[in-house]
Amino acid sequence: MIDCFSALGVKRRFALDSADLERRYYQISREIHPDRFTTGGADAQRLSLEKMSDLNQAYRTLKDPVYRRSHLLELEGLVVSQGSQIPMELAEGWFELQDALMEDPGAAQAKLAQFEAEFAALKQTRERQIAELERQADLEAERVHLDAYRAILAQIAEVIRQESYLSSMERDIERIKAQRAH
Amino acid sequence: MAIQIGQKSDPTAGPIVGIDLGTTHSLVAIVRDGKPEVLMSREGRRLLPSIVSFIDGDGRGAAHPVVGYAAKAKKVRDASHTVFSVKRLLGKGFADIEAESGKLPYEITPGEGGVRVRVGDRLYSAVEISAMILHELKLSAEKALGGPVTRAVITVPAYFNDSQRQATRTAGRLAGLDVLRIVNEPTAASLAYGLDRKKEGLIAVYDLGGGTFDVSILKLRDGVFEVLATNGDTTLGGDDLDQALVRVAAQEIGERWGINPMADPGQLAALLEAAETTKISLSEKPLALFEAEIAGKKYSREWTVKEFESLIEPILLRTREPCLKALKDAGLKPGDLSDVVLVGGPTRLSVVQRVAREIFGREPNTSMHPDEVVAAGAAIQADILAGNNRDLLLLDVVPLSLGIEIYGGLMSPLISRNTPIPTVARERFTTFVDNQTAVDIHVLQGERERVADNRSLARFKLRVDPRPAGEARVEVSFLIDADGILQVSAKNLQTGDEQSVEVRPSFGLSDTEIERLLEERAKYAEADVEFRKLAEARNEVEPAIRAAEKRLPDADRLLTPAEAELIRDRLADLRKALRQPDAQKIRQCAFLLDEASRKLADLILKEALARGAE
Repeated sequence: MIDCFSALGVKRRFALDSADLERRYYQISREIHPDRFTTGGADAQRLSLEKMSDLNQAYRTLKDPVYRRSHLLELEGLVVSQGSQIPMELAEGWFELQDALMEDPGAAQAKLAQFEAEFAALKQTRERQIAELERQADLEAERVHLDAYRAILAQIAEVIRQESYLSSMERDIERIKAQRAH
Repeated sequence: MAIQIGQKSDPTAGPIVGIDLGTTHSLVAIVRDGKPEVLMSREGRRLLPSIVSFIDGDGRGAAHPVVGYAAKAKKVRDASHTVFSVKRLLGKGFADIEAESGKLPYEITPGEGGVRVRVGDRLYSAVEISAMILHELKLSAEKALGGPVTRAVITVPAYFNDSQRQATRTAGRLAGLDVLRIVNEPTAASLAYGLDRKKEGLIAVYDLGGGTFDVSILKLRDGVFEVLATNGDTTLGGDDLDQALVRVAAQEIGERWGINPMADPGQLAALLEAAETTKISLSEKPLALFEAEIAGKKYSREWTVKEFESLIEPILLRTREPCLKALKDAGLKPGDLSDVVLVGGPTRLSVVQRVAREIFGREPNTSMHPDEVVAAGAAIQADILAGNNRDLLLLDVVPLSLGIEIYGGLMSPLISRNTPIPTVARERFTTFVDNQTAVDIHVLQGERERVADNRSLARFKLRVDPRPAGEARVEVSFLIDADGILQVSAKNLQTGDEQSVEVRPSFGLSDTEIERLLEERAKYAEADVEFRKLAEARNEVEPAIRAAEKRLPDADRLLTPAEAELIRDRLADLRKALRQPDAQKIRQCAFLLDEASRKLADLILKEALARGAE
């Protein structure tokens, strides 16, 4: 695994300036892109191909805040596994919705709307939580407080794990809506 | 899949040209004094029709290929020996183009690694035909530049898959060109558009060519041309507009005279030619006459622009979805764009401009030369590769996702579409049963889930050491290079050894076939020299014939009847020789004519000089 942050010469942070990232990507590309080595030797061409592949991967990863987040966690050895439990906050509403869909399709519409609202609120909370944790992590990184930094990263990984369940649930909601529209 | 081409570039190997190998027209260009310039073809034209006609030169079977307007002239008269729009067949199997085959006057048959075109009793691959066009461009460039040309940048539709790119590169190699880079057509066009660096921002290039449609979204900034997303349809182009006109004509002819002109190569070619003429007229005038001679009868039909537009609009609306997908992949809305650049001959039609305007919600930019901008861009990229322009840099993407077949006939993507290239994906493979010695890998390209709905690129067997199941581990690198072409390598993770991968491409010519063709090319080169000698001899004796014809009226007055008769005989001999492919015979007859008419020439000159002295 390459360190995308060092490939682009930026500090390892959750918050990155995208304009600065782009400038660096362009600047390094100008130096290492295979177009600069077409008339050079085979070794130089090969090396340029490898370096540019890595740079492209690094830029693609860091450009996207979600990819950037999981890469940063990965660098610290935190592998984010897929969540498998319904978040407690949503459990009750979800089972009520399932019952309504089976037994009383007429009432299901209201339940669906209610659940969607609960879902959206929780999702927003989670996102705000992550944003706040990321801000703190960057702060600790700046102060080089390693233990505090690692502890926050672990918290972020946990929130993401729960969030990953939300995205699969989001797909379920879409499916229910599509079926009903049918 | 890359077939490694062991050609080293030599910095002293002369100029690098840019080539637009188009469906209907091809061009070659070069940058001189910082500006791209189209080089004239050997026919003295800027465009070279991408048409190859096989002329049965000496009756001994060795048909000689003629490329360009000379071949275009034979499109109707010698329809079954004239091949055009071959780009639509490049890198494809018979199943891919079965629907097309009935629409073309020449015969297409299945063949190993791709379809073949039958001309007389010979079969040609699309790669070979393309190589003939490229070779003609090479000769044109050599004539224009006065020296050897061995290196080129060749453009392809952005939406071309690996097989099609590979086929283009092989064609270049067969034509005697070291292909330094395969560049995407819309990207090349953007280089010409942004060469002066006065234009920056987010642009869309809407490129409707003779046979393919591409759309690319780019960010132009500080001399960097970054492709954000690309999409397209490699079976949609100006040819389809011609086909629409042909279908109407064929139906009306059928109703009127009870014949099917689509079944006759000559009649179909006549209709196609009439369609092209009609289409071009309608881009300039509100009314055009579609005229063709079919079975000795004249078919003619008037087309108004309005009728024509309603005929082709459904075809043009097929460009809408690729445009929207590209925008979506780039994460943009039409309003984010600062310009929409039109490229390709059919964008001259106002209905095409209207469709583009409706898709992007802004007035499209028609300022670029629709036929020449891609070649100009290829020349600029050639100049960049030559190291002459360090100011500009292209960053392109892979148009289609790449993946491998997994259990259940599904494709597991390894590299997603619109990933910047070069790019690499590494995947680890292991064994499922004890002492398994090989793992089969099937590489695919496309956006669909099921294997069958995607393009099969290649298959290969990965050799592994016999060990308990799951112990042998091999890492395979799938690298897409800057040409958008896949290279595969593998590493044994236990030993750390690189291991060779024998890849069997699903489409494309095998190494052995390429070798055979390269050998044949040497032979062709000889035939080509012969042919050129012949053309030169024919040109050389032209003035001698004209001079003799001019003098002949004075022959009976100034010479004995026998002397005059000899000149007439030898003139007739020379004319006869001109019809045969024998340069030496032509020169000999010209010499004999000259000999016989020397006395007459002297007498005429003497008279003229004496008159002048009076």
